[in-house]
Amino acid sequence: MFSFHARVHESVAAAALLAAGVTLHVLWIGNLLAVRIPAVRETFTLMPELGSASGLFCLAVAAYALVFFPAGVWFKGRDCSHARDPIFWFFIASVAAFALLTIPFVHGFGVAMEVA
Amino acid sequence: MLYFPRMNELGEPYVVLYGAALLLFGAAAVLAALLQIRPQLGWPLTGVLGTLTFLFLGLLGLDVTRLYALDMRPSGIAYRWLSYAAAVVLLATATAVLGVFGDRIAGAHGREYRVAVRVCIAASFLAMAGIVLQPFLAMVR
Repeated sequence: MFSFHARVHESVAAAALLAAGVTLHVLWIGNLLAVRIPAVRETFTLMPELGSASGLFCLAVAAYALVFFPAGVWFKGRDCSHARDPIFWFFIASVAAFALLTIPFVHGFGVAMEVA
Repeated sequence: MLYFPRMNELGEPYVVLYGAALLLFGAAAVLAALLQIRPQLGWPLTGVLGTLTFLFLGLLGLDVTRLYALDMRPSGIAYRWLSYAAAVVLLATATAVLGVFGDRIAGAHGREYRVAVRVCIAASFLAMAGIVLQPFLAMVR
C-alpha cells in the first residue's frame, strides 16, 4: 500500500510517550503541592477564575515541551528498541499514578499528630 | 465557593460538543479494537484522535468562559481542570504516536505503542466521564 512515510520515526513516538508520562507526574505533584502549600497555590494562580489549575496548565505545557523536544533530538537516528519497554511502562505507571493521586480524597489525606 | 455545574447548566454548545466527543470516542474505541485486524484503520484513527484533542480544548474553553460570565471562582474544583489537562495530554500523545506509525502500528515492533494508544483512549474517556459525573459524586460525598 502507498504511504507518504517510507520510514517510521520511532524517536518521535518514544519522545511523545516519555513527555506524556513526565507531564502527568508533574501535574499530580503540582496539584498536591498546590493543595497542601498556600504559597504554591498563590504562585500557580495566574487566573483567579481557574485557581491554581491555570498555573498547572502552563506547567504541563512547559514540562511536555521541555521533555518532548530534547528527547526527540536524543532519540533521533538512534536505535529506540531498547528504550521502548521502559518508556512504555513508565507511561503506564504515570497514568495509574495520576488517576490515583489526583482523587480529592487521596491528595487531601492527612494524619493529625498530637503531642501529649 | 464550591460549585459543581451540571450538564444542563453548561449551555447548549457544551452539550453539543460533549455529544460529538461521545460519538468520536465510540468511533475511536471501535477503530482501536480493529487496529490489529485492519492496519489501514490507523490513519482514520489518527484523524479521530486529533479531532478529539481539539474538542476537549473547546470544552475547556466553554467551561472557562462560562465561569467568566458568571463571575465565579471555583478554585476548589481543581480535579475538573486536571481531568481536562490529562485528556488533552493523552489524546495529543496518542495522535502523535499514531501519526508516526500510521498503518504500521499493527506490526510486531508497534505492540507497546498500540497498547499505549488504547490506554490513552480509555483514560481520556474516563476523564471525560469524570468531568460530567463530578456533580453526582460530590452529591454522594
